[in-house]
Amino acid sequence: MRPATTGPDTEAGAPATVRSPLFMRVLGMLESRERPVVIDLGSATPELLARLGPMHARLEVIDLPRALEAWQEPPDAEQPGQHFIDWLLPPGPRPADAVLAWDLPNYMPLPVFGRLMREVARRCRRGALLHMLATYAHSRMPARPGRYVPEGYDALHCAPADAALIDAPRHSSEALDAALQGMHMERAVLLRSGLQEMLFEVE
Amino acid sequence: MFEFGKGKRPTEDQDMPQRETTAATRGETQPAAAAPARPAASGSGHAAVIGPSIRIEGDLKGEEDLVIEGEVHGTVNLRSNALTIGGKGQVKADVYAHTIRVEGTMEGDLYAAERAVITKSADVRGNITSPRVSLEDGARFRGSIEMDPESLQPVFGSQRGSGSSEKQAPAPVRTGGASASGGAGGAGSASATGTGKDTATG
Repeated sequence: MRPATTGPDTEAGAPATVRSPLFMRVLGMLESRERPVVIDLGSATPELLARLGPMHARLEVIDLPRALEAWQEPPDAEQPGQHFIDWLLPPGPRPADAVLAWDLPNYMPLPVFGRLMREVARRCRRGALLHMLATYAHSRMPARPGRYVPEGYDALHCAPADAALIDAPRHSSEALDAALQGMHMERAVLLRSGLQEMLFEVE
Repeated sequence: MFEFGKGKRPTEDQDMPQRETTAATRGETQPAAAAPARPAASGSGHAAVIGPSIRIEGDLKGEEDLVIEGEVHGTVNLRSNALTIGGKGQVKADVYAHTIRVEGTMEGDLYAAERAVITKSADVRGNITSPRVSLEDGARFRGSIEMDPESLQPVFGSQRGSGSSEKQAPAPVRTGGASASGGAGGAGSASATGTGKDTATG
């Protein structure tokens, strides 16, 4: 699947506010549901919480980067232990409607990310949406995952957490689609920031 | 008045010794929703303080606002009042209060009938259930945030969000000993009301 728009007009790692149609689509879907459940693999932000509050939503904050730091033994790169998964993703009272992965796929080997997403998908209802941002246009990216917050009605503000840059894996949408079993790609859009916004649907 | 459970859940306030609780004034603002028609010092700027040198294990129940700057393990039950876990506070407990403000370290589940505020200095691991939750930028949080008011119904019943001082049967039941140790310390003086079985050393 090809990105829907043309190339970036911001530098790699620069803060940017960009229109993010797929993220807004996720919010729209959540607004249509009663007591929606959102799994946020990143850290909690006041802005997202403010957006979800009026929906009477349940937000499950995984904070994966910090969780990986807190975990005593690093998970096996090929097959993270089930006890780690259980600790990371405790069962919730109702299945999730949406998963926000932000730019985390850029920072994990695809097989590990795919395994994690398989477990996440088990916590989701059929038709749940997985939103993610993959570095696409730039060959370099910030050394650590960034901070992403909804801004206004149709935009996402992306702020890098680190000025240092590292090589970007530039996962193709095809590679991500293949890695995420139990989900299929719904749509991909290239944002002005050079990130590719992707939406997957849980089968 | 606060009470510490020991071995069984305290049932009625009249079972507790009539010791006076020292109130301390804090400059910070409690959430405004905590104000009306509540029995203790809510809205008046006064709250009881558990000082930084105090450590409590067991059930803590009361009917006035409370600031925890010390260490509390167990259950905190202030259904009609405001609880602040101060910057020095370390709480490992399930907490039930009208409003909850976390500035320190908290591990456990928080149930706030009206509002929960997680400030930028907070480090929270657990689940928050409250119709209104605010989280400041920089706060560390891992767990779930349930903002569906219906989820509080089994916990607070009709009391939720009413500001009523009407007594409700407390949900948290913990067994095991309770002890309070340490002395009044830090900026605010602190005293606690305990049963004869409680221990207080300092």
